[in-house]
Amino acid sequence: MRSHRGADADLLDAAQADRVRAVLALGGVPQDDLQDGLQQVRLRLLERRARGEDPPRDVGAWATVVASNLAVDWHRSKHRQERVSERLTLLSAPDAHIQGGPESGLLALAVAEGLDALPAAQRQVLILRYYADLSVPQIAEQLGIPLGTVKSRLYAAAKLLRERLRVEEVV
Amino acid sequence: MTAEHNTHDGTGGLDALLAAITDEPLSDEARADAAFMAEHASATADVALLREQLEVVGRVLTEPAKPKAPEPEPVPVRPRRRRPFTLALGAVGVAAAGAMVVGMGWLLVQAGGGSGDDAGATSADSAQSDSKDAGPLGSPAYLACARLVAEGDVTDVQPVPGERQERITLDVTRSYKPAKGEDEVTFVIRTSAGLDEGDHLLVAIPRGSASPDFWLVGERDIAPARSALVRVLPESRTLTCD
Repeated sequence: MRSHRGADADLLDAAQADRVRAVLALGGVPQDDLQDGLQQVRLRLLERRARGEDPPRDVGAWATVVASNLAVDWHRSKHRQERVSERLTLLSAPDAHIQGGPESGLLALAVAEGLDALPAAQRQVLILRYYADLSVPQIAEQLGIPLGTVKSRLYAAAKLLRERLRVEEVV
Repeated sequence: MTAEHNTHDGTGGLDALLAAITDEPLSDEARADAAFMAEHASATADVALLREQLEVVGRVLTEPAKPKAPEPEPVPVRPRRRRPFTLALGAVGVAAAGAMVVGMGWLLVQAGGGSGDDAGATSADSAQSDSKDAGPLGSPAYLACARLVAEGDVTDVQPVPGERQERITLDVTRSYKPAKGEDEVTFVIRTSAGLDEGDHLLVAIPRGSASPDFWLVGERDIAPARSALVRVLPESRTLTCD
């Protein structure tokens, strides 16, 4: 579980903002649009407050769910979705980002390619579960979908990612 | 969708991967099944690895973009000649005095010190070596992890709709890896590579990729790389790609 904010906080802290941007990026939102996506999440938080609703119990988790929905909407609205693997290849340098040597870089690329291959709905639950650390019941509650649907999507996504890692002989 | 894979008798139909990803408690029957527990441990380890790598990918994607040198427009003019080519690769600026381009695979090999001759050289140093340097083709470790290394003539260039990429058809004149390859291969490459029909190419594609991460155009640039490649290829066959 990510760090919590007080009930009267109306902005995301730096760590929460970073997680939101990462969820957007993992969901295929292009680099140039990450900041706009973050602003949309902040805006929704302010709108919630303006409506007199209680703040989210876990602002960080709530924000990552909103970000994941934005990423899904981005994909569905036929914006040009950025391939995570292509972006990762362009950004990576051994001394800069992917520590742990060449093996870690290959693992990251295998995961990125797996993300690119997933349907949006499966990608969303995978990111919420294994990047944002939400539990399966939390994901079901936040997305408003049955628990079985979350498990089903998560299973399919994890199975594909696992097969990708094995096919590329990194595990 | 039901998880009907990897079930074992005595586990109540519980799937090892499903149990791992949902953190569901295991029954006594499942715990008593050694095969199931082994599969569950494997699934749990893979999930932990997935979580770790998502963190890595997320961090890389959201770090501030480094300044990039502008990519040149594809050169539309024939005949074949040395093409000045500038490509920015994250923090590594590549200025090739020839059509030598390096990609992630070569950088990874450099990070691991996989090239005996270049161990200790920085990726930037390697990337900026002159056209007589074979680049990663002189590295047995790089070749061990390549699925295709071949030479040939470009016979077709087709744009990939909606992507800044082109599909290249190569009439193979010499296959280095595999030793006996196809007569014709097809791969996808960035449009900025500027390849044209008739180009003579030496190309290397890493495992698990549809695109080359290293290529040379023209005999003048290919010849020295070919010599190095032929020299280290036997050693690369003794290595495993880890």
